[in-house]
Amino acid sequence: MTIDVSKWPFGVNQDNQVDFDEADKSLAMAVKAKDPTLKLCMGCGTCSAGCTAGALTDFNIRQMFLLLNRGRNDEVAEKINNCMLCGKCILGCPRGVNTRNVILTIREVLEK
Amino acid sequence: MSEYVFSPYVIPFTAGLIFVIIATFYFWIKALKQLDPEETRKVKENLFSLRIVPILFSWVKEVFLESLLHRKIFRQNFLLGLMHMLIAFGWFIAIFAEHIRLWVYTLNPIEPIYFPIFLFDFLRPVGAESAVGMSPAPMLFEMTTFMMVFIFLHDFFMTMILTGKALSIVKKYKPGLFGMTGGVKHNQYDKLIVMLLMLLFIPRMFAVGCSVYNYGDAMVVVNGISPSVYAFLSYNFGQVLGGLGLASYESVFWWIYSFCIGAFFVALPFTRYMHIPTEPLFIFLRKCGVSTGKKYTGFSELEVLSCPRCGICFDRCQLNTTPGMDVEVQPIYMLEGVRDKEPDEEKVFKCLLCERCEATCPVDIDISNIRITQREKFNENKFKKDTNRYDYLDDAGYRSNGGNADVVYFAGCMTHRTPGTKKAMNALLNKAGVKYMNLDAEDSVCCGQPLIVDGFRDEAQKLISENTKRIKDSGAKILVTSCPVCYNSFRKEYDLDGVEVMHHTQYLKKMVDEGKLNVKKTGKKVVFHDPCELGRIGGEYEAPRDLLKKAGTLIEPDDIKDDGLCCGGSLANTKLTNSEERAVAGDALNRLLAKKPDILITACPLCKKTLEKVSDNKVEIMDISEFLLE
Ligand code: SF4
Ligand code: SF4
Ligand code: SF4
Ligand code: SF4
Ligand code: SF4
Repeated sequence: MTIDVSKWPFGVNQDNQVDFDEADKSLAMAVKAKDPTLKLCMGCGTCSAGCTAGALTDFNIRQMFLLLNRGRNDEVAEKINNCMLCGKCILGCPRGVNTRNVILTIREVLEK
Repeated sequence: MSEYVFSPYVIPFTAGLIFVIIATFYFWIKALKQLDPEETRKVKENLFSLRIVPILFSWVKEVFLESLLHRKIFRQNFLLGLMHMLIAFGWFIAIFAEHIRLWVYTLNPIEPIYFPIFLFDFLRPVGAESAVGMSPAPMLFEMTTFMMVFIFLHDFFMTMILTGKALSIVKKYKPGLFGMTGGVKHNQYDKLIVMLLMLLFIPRMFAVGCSVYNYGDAMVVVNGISPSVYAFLSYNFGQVLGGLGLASYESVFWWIYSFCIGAFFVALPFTRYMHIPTEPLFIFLRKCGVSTGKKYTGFSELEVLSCPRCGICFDRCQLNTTPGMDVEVQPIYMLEGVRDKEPDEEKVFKCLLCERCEATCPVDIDISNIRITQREKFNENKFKKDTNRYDYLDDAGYRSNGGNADVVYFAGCMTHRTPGTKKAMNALLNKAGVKYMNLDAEDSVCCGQPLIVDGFRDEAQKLISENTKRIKDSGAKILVTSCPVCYNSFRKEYDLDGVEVMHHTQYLKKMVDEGKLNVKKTGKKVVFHDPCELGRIGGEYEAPRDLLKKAGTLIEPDDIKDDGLCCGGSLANTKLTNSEERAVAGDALNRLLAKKPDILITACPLCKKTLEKVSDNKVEIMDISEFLLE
C-alpha cells in the first residue's frame, strides 16, 4: 500500500540520507582552511533566527553551513548569494564564527 | 650675458634635475590622461572661467601653508611640524633667496638652472677672483649691503634646514617627543633617499665654507658688520675648514654636493619624495572640485603618489596602537602597494574603515574611497559578478505602506540586534507625537552599505533600489535611522529626491529644540562615545552632545570627535579575528572609561553591542535614545 503523504496535515521532508564516505567534503575543508572559525559552529541557529535574507526567502544560513559539511555543495552554491552581508548573524553567534567571512570564503571557493 | 659661467661639476646636478622634470611630466600627463571625463570637464570648466582666479589664489595658499609650512602637521604635534617646516620651507626659501641674489645681480631672469645652486662659487666678491680654475672666470660682485643681507639669509636658511635635519635625527631615537611611535617600516629606496637628503646639505656646507674661506680678504666688514656675523655659518665654518687645510678641496666638495643632489633627483620618482612634484597638481585639481569618489581615476593615482609616507596614519590606527596588536593595514602601507601596482590583500581588507587615519592625514588623501576601489578590484578577480543575486526581492511581496507618514524610521539591521534602541526610538517618536512609520519592522532589506564597503557596490544596487522604492512609497519627507552606517549609506549612495536623511541623534535634537520632546536633567555622569560612522564619516559631533548636556552631566574623555575611538566591530572588516576585535574594543573601552562615568552612551547599535561584549558589566552602556527615554 502506498501512502500519499501530500494528504497529511503536516509537511514531511524528502528522504535525506548523507553517505559520508561519498560526500564531497573538499569544499568544506577548503573553507575551513581559509576560515577556521567555521569549525566552531555548533548549529544552534541563532544566526538564521535573525537573518535578513532569511526573512525574505527560504535562505537559511545555518543550513548552508550544514549542507556544506555534508558535501551538498550544489545547494549551497544555489543559495549562498542570497546573503546581504548585513552582519546580523555575526552579532548573534554565541560561538564566535566569523560568519560573514565564512560566507565570502564559501563563494570564493565555489567559484574556483 | 653671452657666456655663462660653467664648471663640469654642475653636470650631475643638471642631469638629475632634467631627469626629475621629465619624470614629473610623465606622471602628470599620465594622471591627467586617466582622469574621468567628468573630472576633466570639471577642470576645464574652472580653467576657462573667472573662477580660476580664486582657485589659483587658494591653490597658492594651500601649497604654501601645507606643502611648505606644514600647518596640519603643526596641529598634530609642534615638534613634528617644526621639523617638516624647517626642512621644506627652509630649503625652498634658501633656493628662492639665491635666485633673487642672482637676478638682482645680473638683471637677467634667464640663467642656467644650475646657476643659483652653485652661486657661492660662480659669483665671488671682488678680490677673490683667483679661486678655482674655472672657465670662464667667475662673476664678481661688490660686497654691498644687499649682498651682505643675502649671504646672511643664506646662512640663516641653511641653519633652518640643518636644525630640521638634527630634529629628524632626534626623532629617530625619541619618536615620542614628536607624538609618534616610530614603528613604521620603510622600504630600502625610502631609506636610501632619506640618507641622500640627509647627506646633501653636509657637502654643501663644506663647499660653501671653503668658498667663503677662499674669498679671503674679500669678505670685508660691511657697515661695521664683520663677516663672522653676517656670514655666521659659512664664514665661521670656513675658518674651521681652512684651519684643517681643507679649503683647497673646494671643487671636490662642489663635486660631491652636485653628485648627491643629482642622485637625489634620480632616485626621487621611485620613492616617497615623488610627493614633492605631484602634490601641487593634486592640490590644484582638488581646488577644481575633483576628488576620489567611487572610481579609481588618474586623480586617485596622483593622491597615491602624493603620500609622503609621513607615518602619521600609522600612529593613529588602533590596529597598531592597541597593545599587542600589529596589523599592517595603515594607508602608509596600503597606498604603497597601490602605487607599486601590487596591493596586498590583507593590507587592503583588514582595515576597519574607521577613518581615524584619514582625519589627520596631512595631505587629505581620500583614503577610504581609494581603499574601497582596491577592494572592488580584488573582488572582481576573485568572484564572478552577480548583480542578479537579490532579484528575489521582486517576489518578496512588499505591500505599499499607505504613503501618508511624515517621518519614516529605518532602524537598520544592527538595531534589530539591539532592540532596546528600536523600542526607545518608537517610544520617543510617539511621545513627540510624530506621524511616523517603521519601514523595516518586518521584511527589512539591508541598506547595502556592508556590501559597498566590502567592495561589492554593483551587487548592492538592487538593495538600494528596493529601499528607495519603499522610502518614496511612504510619502515621508524625513528618513530617520538609528544606525550611522545606514545614515551614511542613505546620504551617499541613494538618490532620495529630497527626502532628508537624519540620524536619530539629529532628529531627537530637532524634536527637543522644537519643544516637542522634553528631557529631564538627571544627575548622571555620562561619557559619549563618538561612533566613527556618525562622527568622522557622517560629520555629526554636536547633536548628541547637545542632547546629553541637557539630560545629564557630559564628561569628555581624551579621545573625542576626530580622535574618537573605533570599537573594532566595524562591518567594513571581515578579516579581523575575534580576539583582535576584542582587543580593540577592550582598549577603546578602557580609554573611554578613564574618567569613570556612570553611563557610557553611544549612538551606534553596532558599537553598543561590540562594547558590551567586552564590558564585563563594568559600566552601563546605553544608546542615546534609551538614555533620553529614561
Ligand atoms: S550577513 Fe547574510 S547570513 Fe548573516 S544575517 Fe545578514 S543576510 Fe543573513
Ligand atoms: S549562530 Fe554561530 S554557532 Fe549558531 S549556527 Fe550560526 S554560526 Fe553556528
Ligand atoms: S596616508 Fe596620509 S598620514 Fe598616512 S603616510 Fe600618507 S600622507 Fe601620511
Ligand atoms: S581606517 Fe581605521 S583601521 Fe583602517 S587604517 Fe585607518 S585608522 Fe586603521
Ligand atoms: S561599529 Fe561604531 S565604532 Fe565601530 S566602526 Fe562602526 S561606527 Fe565605528
